[in-house]
Amino acid sequence: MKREVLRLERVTCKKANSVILDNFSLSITEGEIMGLLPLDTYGLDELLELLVHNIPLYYGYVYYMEKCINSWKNYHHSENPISLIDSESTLVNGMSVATNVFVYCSEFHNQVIQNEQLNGKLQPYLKDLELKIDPDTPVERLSQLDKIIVEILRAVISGHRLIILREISTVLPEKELKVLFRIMQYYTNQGYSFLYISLHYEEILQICTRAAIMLNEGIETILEGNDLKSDVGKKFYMDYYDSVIQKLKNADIRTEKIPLLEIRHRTEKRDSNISFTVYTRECLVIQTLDTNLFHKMADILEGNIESPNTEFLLEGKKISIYSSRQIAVLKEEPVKSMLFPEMTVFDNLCISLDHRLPAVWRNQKIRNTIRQEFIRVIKKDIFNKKISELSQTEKIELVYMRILLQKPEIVFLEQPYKGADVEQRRIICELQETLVRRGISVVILAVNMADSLAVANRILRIDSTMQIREYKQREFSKLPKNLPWSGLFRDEFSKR
Amino acid sequence: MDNRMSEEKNKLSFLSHRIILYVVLLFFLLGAALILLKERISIFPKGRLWYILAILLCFTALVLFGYFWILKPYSEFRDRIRRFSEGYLSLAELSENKVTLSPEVRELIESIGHVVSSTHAIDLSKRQAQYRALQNQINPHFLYNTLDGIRSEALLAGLDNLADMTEALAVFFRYTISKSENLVTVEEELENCRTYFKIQQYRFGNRLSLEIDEDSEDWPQILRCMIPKLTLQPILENSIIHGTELKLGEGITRILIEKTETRLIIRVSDNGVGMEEENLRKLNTKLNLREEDSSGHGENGGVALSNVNNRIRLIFGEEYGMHVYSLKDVGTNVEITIPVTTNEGMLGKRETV
Repeated sequence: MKREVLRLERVTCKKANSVILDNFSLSITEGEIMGLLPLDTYGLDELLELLVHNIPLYYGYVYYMEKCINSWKNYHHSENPISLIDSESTLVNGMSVATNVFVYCSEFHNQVIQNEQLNGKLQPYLKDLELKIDPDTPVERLSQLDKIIVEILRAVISGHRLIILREISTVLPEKELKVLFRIMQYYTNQGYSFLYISLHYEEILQICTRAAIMLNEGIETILEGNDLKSDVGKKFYMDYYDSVIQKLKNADIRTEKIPLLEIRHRTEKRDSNISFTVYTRECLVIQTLDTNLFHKMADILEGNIESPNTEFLLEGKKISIYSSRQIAVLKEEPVKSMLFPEMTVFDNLCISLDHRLPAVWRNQKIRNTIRQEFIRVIKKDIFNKKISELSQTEKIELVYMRILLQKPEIVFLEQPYKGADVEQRRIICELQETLVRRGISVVILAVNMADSLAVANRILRIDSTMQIREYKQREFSKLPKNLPWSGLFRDEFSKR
Repeated sequence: MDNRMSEEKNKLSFLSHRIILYVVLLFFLLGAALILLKERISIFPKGRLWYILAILLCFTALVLFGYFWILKPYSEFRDRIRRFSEGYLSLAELSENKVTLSPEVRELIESIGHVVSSTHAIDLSKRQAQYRALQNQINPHFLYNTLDGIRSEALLAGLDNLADMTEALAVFFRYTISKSENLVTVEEELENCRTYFKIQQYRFGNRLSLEIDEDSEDWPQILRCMIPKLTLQPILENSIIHGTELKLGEGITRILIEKTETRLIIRVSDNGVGMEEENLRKLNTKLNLREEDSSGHGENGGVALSNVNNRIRLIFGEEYGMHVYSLKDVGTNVEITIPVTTNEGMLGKRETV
């Protein structure tokens, strides 16, 4: 007999009189990996909040293990035995793996933590998964994959029968994703269920038995069996696909091969030295197959760590990446990390203009010119609004417009598609092309390439041994099959 | 924007009125308490400390009283009214509240209830009368005898197809007209679906096919479960008329039934033309409305689905019912959830229609 781990029955939630979940129905059975593909991100955060923390319902019922845990009639503020694993780890740094795993357990009430005992309890789980993680290691020293596995173990040991994984592929390269999928399969055989949230249909296809398509705060349809395997997924991205195909058809080799920036990184081991060049007017994607390497590169670019072994040579001259205005960096999810919410759009827009237009804050004429330029590009007058009043798409446009105004030679974008829905990804793609058209070279840093393939002229894949493999656009079809968009390149180039 | 602003203003003025009311009440009661305490000051040995403590105690008790006996039930009742006015709750559910209403308001709710139920009763009796008239006109035995006669003639003439078709029609009518129970077994309902589909196949040929998934290990138990009569056939009919019939190429309708510890989950899916997001949203909203509201939306389609859904909710409760998933050019999936019931007695005191 099947057992439902989760059932949302016609759930409607409202926040400040606006509907955030509308007639939402979804069920997950025991031992199932259910995919959730949000075509837009409206209501997604609230859905996860509802599943994990129970929020008051306007209407509907929520059942966990066939028992009603929340309804519009009876609301109790309590945590549900459901784990949410995000790309941001929730493990406590400074504590060991074993302590993190057992921290939620009911028997974990001892005032003195007996490490030996905890390690002994954890070992059988690690043995079952054929993993070599030292239970005494502080979690901050773990790789991203190991952190996610530890979070899964914590959920399993705490007795959480449903584990939600949200956009995990943004922090895991394909090889590590396969390891994670193997572990998920192992636990589904033990009766645990997963809700796998991804913004890419190709990824859901690889692991899920059913997939729910979420649109406008509700579930549009549920695909399973042959429907899931067929080309149905393409329907959701039709406009996006068309625009990329059109771009590919029009694109010849656009890159003028003039070297712009050379990056050299030396280590004690000669074979671990890496060096590569960014050319003018190109979109280069650097995919690091090791998450730690990605974080290290991001830290160097953001100026969080100094690396005496890394040199940046802009047009042959050595520069300091932190102080140079010729190089810009957009962090991961820049709408959260790079905008000042209490300031106006204009203030946020001009914040990096001091080197080009020092008088920007007092000269009304300059401000008007910027305003006109801004309206012309994004076709909206949002100049006097505060950041908190903007939609997600407007915030994305603002971040990219700031780069356009700053006009650096090169912009580094860290995982630019992270957290963006289909429409937002299309807009990001167009904005990146605008940057290249205006003469700014774009370098995308990513662990999982996601949609970067749709805009890239060249790809560098760096593995954990620091070996670089270069792919030019014509060679994109040789990339692994499960990468989003690689199928499109195979189709397009086989036609040619 | 103006609407939103005026709404905010209304909320603010409502809130401020309420706060003023509470403050006045609080001061009045506090004043009364103080006067009383002052007159009996001699009961406190050290005067001031006890005096302050008593005031604080009164104040806390008042706040707690105000919150638990006035504010909380009142806000719950306000939420119920809002849900009622949006169509989520029935009048009976609205009256199930903890707030002590004034006799006038209670009378008002009761009189609305009478109006609604009398309109509903009139509507129901009208439909019942029409149904009875139709049934009387048909005279089931006369109909079956005639159909049997046609079948015999067809067999004699060597028209096997016509004979089969007539037999299927007779079986279908026997189930829909004669059987008077509210609940039937899944087996009976599936048999009726097969019969209905057989009749449709004479019209559409091999263009349509019906697949009933019988692979579940619980299949024998599933077949014994009770569901409202004519739950599946109207959905199947809908799936053919609005889904697979309009599709170019082969149309497949699948019936999948699963049993969990507490529920029977029935999925009727097709690979038809599907529906637009806007229509799907309207349909699901209509299915979510209480019976009185949803029956007035017949012009927008989905009457059959609404009727099935209303019957399920009336028999088993509003936690159960139907939800439709659909994607344009991909297909539609109707999911029904019903509690696992193997005899009508299990329904307990629940009123059956």
